[in-house]
Amino acid sequence: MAILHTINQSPDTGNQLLACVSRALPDSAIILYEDGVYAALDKIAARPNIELQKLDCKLYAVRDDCEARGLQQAALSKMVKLIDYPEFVELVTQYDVVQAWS
Amino acid sequence: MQFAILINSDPNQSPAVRSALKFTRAALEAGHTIQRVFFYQGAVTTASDMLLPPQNEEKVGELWSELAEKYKLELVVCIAAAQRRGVWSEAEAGRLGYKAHNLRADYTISGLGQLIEASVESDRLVSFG
Amino acid sequence: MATKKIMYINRVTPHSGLTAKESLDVVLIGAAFEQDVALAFIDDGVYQLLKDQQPEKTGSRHVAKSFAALGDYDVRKIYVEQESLDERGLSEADLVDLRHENPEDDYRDTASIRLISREKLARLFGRQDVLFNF
Repeated sequence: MAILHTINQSPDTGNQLLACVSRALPDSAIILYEDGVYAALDKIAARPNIELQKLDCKLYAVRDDCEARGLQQAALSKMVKLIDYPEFVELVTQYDVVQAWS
Repeated sequence: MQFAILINSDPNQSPAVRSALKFTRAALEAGHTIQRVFFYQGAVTTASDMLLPPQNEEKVGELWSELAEKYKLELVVCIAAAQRRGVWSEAEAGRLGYKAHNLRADYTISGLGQLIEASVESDRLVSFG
Repeated sequence: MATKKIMYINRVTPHSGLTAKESLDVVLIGAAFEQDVALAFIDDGVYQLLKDQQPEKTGSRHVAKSFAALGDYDVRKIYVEQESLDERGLSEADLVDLRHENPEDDYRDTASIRLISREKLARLFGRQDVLFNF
């Protein structure tokens, strides 16, 4: 049973992302949206306490939320795939349950 | 697939109500169905028709109404959360002796049982905020 | 109505707003639907279960006291993440003693709180049909 995690908070505002990464299993995926997309910045994703590259999870960020916040694709981690809402919907159907961290 | 949508955050403090709208619209356009949209905690204020944002700002409650009319969506507002935060249907206000009521058309007020029922009867619960 | 596995994940402190109370309201109403229900307390959520809270000192609500009723609502599985306790210097002895009558054991009076490791609990998340986060 694979989990789709959703994160909507900057990792410097609260500990939503840390809570997620400390519990995300290899077959899961993480969608960063709203302020969650700041974690897609390469510099943040690679921080020692976050290390998204070590997770072995699929990583997604909502394109509109990145663009709205002025995040340039070049500054984002290569591990993160940009998606639009139709793909968000599709991912929800592909995973067994949604863990919407709050 | 059938989704239940839960929204928890106040639309003035979080983009959750708007993100949920985008998700719901994308799901419907892809041919999925929405069992119910449930507004809980701070999100209940979305359903007030006495909010007056400045003219250049969209009324997100109205956007939900438009989507609900187009797709016959059920927009349910939690009664206990709504009463705490001053969102009243005409019937509830009358029953409890309040003079004003402010629930938008297209929304209904009901209990938390509607949330549980929606999450049990749909294929996925998707929560925002 | 189908029976689903529903888990309520509590991650917030008890006295900084309505979230803990409004989470519990969902659990109590949900109990009437006879689903396979579990609660999980992780991160700051473990503070909700501290036994010596005196919320009247600040005029806040006593959620820990309301948890005592969960057994009567047939909510019997209450998971507390061991690491979350450890990180806060807390142990099971600091928590409220929640009990229920276990129908699988001749209705014997049984503790509801089960300590669980972070990894096991993470796997348990994946075995649920519905996850509520408050």
